[in-house]
Amino acid sequence: MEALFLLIGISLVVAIVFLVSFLWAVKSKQYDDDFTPSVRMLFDSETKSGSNDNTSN
Amino acid sequence: MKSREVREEVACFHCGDPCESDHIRFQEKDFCCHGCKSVYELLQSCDLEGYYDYADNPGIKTLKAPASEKFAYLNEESIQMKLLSFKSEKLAKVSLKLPAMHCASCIWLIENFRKLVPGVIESRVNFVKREAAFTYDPQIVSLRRLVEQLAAIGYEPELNLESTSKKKTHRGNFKLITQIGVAGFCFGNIMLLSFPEYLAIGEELTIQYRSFFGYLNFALALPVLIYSASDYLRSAWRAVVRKVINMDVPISMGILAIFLRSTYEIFFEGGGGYMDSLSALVFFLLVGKWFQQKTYDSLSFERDFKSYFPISVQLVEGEKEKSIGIEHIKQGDQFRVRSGELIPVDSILVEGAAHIDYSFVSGESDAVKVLSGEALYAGGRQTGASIILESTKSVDQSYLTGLWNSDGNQKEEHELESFADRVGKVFTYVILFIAFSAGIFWMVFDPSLVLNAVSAVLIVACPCALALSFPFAYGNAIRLAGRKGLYLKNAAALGRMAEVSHIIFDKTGTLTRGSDSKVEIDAFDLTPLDKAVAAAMATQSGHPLSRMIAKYLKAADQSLPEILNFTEVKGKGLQAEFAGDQYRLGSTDFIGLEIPRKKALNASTVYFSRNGETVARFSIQKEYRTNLNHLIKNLKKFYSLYLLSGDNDSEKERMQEVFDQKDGLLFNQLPHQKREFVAKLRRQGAVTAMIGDGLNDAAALKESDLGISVADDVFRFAPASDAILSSAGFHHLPEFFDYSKEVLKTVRLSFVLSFLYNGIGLFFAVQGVLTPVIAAILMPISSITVVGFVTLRTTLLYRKKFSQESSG
Repeated sequence: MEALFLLIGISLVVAIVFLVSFLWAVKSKQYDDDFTPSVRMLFDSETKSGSNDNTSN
Repeated sequence: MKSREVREEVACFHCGDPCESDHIRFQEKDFCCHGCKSVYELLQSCDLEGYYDYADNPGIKTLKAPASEKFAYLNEESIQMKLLSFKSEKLAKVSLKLPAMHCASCIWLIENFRKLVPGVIESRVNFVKREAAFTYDPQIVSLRRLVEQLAAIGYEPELNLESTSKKKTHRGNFKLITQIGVAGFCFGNIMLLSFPEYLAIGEELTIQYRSFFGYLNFALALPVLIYSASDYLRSAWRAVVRKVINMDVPISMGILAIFLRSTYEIFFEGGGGYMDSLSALVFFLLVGKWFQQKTYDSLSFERDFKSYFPISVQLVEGEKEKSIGIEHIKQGDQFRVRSGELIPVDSILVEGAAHIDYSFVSGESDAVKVLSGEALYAGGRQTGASIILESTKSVDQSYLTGLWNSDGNQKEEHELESFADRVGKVFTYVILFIAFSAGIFWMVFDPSLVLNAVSAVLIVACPCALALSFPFAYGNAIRLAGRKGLYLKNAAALGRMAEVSHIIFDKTGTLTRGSDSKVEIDAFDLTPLDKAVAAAMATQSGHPLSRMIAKYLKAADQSLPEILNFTEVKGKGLQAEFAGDQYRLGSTDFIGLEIPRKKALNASTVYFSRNGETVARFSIQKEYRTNLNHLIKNLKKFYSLYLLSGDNDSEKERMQEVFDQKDGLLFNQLPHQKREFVAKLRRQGAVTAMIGDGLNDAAALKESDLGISVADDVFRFAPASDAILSSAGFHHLPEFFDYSKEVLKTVRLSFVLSFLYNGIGLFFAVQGVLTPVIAAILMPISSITVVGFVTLRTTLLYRKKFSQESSG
């Protein structure tokens, strides 16, 4: 049964990792704009032959 | 004989507006105007035709080329400092608000802006906020050029004092989401660690494990109490200090009672406590708050008059001119105001011909001619050539600011106490009474149960369901109303909407469509030359009808023939000679014709004759919103209606017919009179809703309990208000008011439900037998059912109310 202490400890650590990554995502403004990225991903990257700089994502 | 100009239904390739019959054809595509065509050409030359791939007719009509010097102030270092978020030798970053963005194509174009303007390194759009962040090389392209290019393709950025002087931070939202994250994390883990308690295997575990789970629960509950619940505790504390009771007081009482009792159990009795209930409660409360707050970030409800003003003015110092920030204007400074610009500060005219349009201030759109040395007031718009003014005051002391400051703090005083707070107050007293009674009862019969019973009452009675039903009902209703075009600032606005008794309308722009009238021409025998003469005559006159005709004939854009012997007969018409012909423009009597007068109620007709022969008829129509009569009739059943118009009373008869009443229709109202009128009604105990647009209504909108500003484009121009109503949703107005009442009713019903649960809980609590299991089951169930009930009912009501119309 002593393993319980260890296991719960580990599970809490894992959970905290997720919490911290959630907070990081909020802080880095990933939740600020939930519309533009959904449109942006549909844009063709440079279909015209004239332009060749593919710096856009 | 009669040849009405026929319109071909061809949509402009760029902006989608219908094209006139003589529109431009270019590369097999139709364009309604040169502006649209030139934008198309510009985009084509930069390989940006992809713009037209992502949406049909995505373009924005560039109405008029901006004055060449309009953005000159962006070269000013001090103004750049305010706008730029970063600047170095080779790199500058700026975030601009582009309210014209409306579709995927817009995003594509703005994000490919670097192809259009060399020197722009990257641009990223935040569509939700209607913002774009630009990174550019200031050595290649200036901020001014960047903004000018944006304006040239139709995305003129919104630059004003508001957006520069206070950089909006979204800390509030960030904090709330973090609080939810922390509470949710703790909630989940505490639930897991409480399983032994739920399964009642707690007794079988050794003390060692029981206290281990207990301590962990305690540790996990600490951040919930200290961080996530801090806003509720603080708000309750503030209320108690001020000796008032709001909804947060009973919530905080409950939270503290759970925490203290659980702590006691964990540390002194080796029990599990109720930390799961605590964190669940806080978590659901915060989610509700977030749901309620998730309103319209991209709309600005909090505009003050300064938003309308330019950021800078062209200061005139002897021979030299330079642009300075508006806040640096001192009394006695001389500055230049160009055509179409707003006068930022009260001043006197020094040089030039001033024709000032005070429609922002008074609602009257006829330009006023001002002579040299006379006073001009802030908010006026110059319509003629550029003029030089000398300021008589500093910006903060001018006429408009006075108007605003005088009513700035009034709203707080007679703010309606929200329904939630009223209920919360009664609730708190009742709970305290029951807890006290239970305490006394057990004091007599079994003192060992006193603490147990009292704390249990406080825990169970904690109005979680009560506190949840508001944010979820209102949050959902606000979201749904937004779909139909009513954007409410917050839940309080919706709450007040349900209590409105008096509705006050503005006329122009509210009951009528926009501020423009529709002019139609019936040509009988009209040559292009006649048309030009009519335009020339109309421009010479200051009469409103003449001005509309002049505008319709695009008199400003063409060179007009020199007319001779121009005379204006007041109230009749105009008369002039050209090339030996005698022309008249005016009423039938004036023309001298016995044409039977086609009397349309809301149209004025003007005839145009050459040598006594009628060659054309102009009908000028105020465009009222569709189904206005029906709408007013519906509202009249439940509300007292008023009309406050800044215009003259030429439409009085028509309005009396629409409103079916003679009283309460007031014309020639100045902004402060409108405000006074609303204030008077409120003093009489009325709950008022003011519906208006334009700056001249702004004071009244602020004064009223519920200010609704009507806007054709909700992302642009709207004065400070509690709600923005898109003109497309105007005909839903009676439904919106009805809906708000139903939402309030939903909340009341949910209270009944919540009291039921509280009653059951109290039944156990007063007996001192509330076990963690009962608490753990009762609290989430009551929360979830209440949330489900209000969300479902508000959605169903919305469907029912708005289902008759085809949904958009």
